[in-house]
Amino acid sequence: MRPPRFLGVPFELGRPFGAPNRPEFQIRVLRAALELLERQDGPPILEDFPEDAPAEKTDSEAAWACPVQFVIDQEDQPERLRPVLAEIEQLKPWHEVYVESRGRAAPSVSGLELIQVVRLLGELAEGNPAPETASKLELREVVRLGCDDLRTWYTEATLGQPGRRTAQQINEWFWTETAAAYLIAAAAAELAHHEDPWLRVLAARAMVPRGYRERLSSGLKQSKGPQP
Amino acid sequence: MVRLNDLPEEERAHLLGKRIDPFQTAPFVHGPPLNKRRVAIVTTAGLHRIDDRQFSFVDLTYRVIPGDIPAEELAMTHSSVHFDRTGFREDVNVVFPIDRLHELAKQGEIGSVARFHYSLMGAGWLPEQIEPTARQIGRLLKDDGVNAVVLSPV
Repeated sequence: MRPPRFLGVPFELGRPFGAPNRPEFQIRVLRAALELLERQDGPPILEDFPEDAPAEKTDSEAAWACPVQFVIDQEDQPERLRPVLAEIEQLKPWHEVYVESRGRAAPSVSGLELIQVVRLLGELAEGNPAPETASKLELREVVRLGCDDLRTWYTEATLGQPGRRTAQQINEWFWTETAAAYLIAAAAAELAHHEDPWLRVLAARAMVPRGYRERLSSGLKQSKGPQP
Repeated sequence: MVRLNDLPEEERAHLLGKRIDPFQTAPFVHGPPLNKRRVAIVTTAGLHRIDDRQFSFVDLTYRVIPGDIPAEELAMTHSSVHFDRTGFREDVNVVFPIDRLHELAKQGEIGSVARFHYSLMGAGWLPEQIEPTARQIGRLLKDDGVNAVVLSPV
């Protein structure tokens, strides 16, 4: 690419400045990048940042616990949605802990309430090609952003739990152990045949990460997935 | 930006398969010492003010991020599902080091922090497609007196 000045960093994607809540480390990365401006021996000036990001401390064998076991009356909910709704009810106390500890939750980017996102994905998974939404955005944007909101909520709930988990652990848990992931995958499976080419592209590329598509697809075919 | 060997095989193959044509030019400029520079951040993390338009699935536009915006007023609507977002959730500086930049200015290591910074959505387009937007941002940075830019890729 022949950039004028480039600092290569070894951090995971989505973390170009290393690690959250590590200001001393972040400032070292930023300083290393800015100091390249003082050099005249380019182009290009290519350097590698010599440190790995500080390791996230985790609790080994930390259980994904829930403080209260709710008995959920799911009789009036579509069957496909019941596992996800039960899951959300179990996680809700932890999400409240997260909000209380951080002072805020992430704003909805889809403009939908969480239950509206779940219902939208449920309708798509049932093969409804044009579900009504409460949004003015095009369907492909509502679906994409709704999936973002759902994943963000689950992430916040896990961050509210005791114990520490790495980002990879949280990601792995979401995509391999939650009913929400199966719901997203089921919606994507239907959208893969949609008449709108943009929805087909969304389903193929931007709903389920590459590394989990085969597993979730296989699980759907076997009617597997978390049960309430 | 991540060691290829640290990626799962599917991700590694996907990145190695991307078309990356070499640029025809290699721009390189000199400037004043770092402690006299006015610095801005341009990120492709798909960030925007909460009340600003979300980025679309494929989007060639930019968003303006004021230099004094509180972290809780920023949202991320990047279209890729292939990178970690928990870091951003915990601390915006992991993709948009605005607080760190202000600290460097306070310590006198840089001259000043730009009044405005910019975000694009870093997926779904080729370099030639984003060039008009990049040129617009370049003009805006120049008008803000910026003479150093940190490009934060996400």
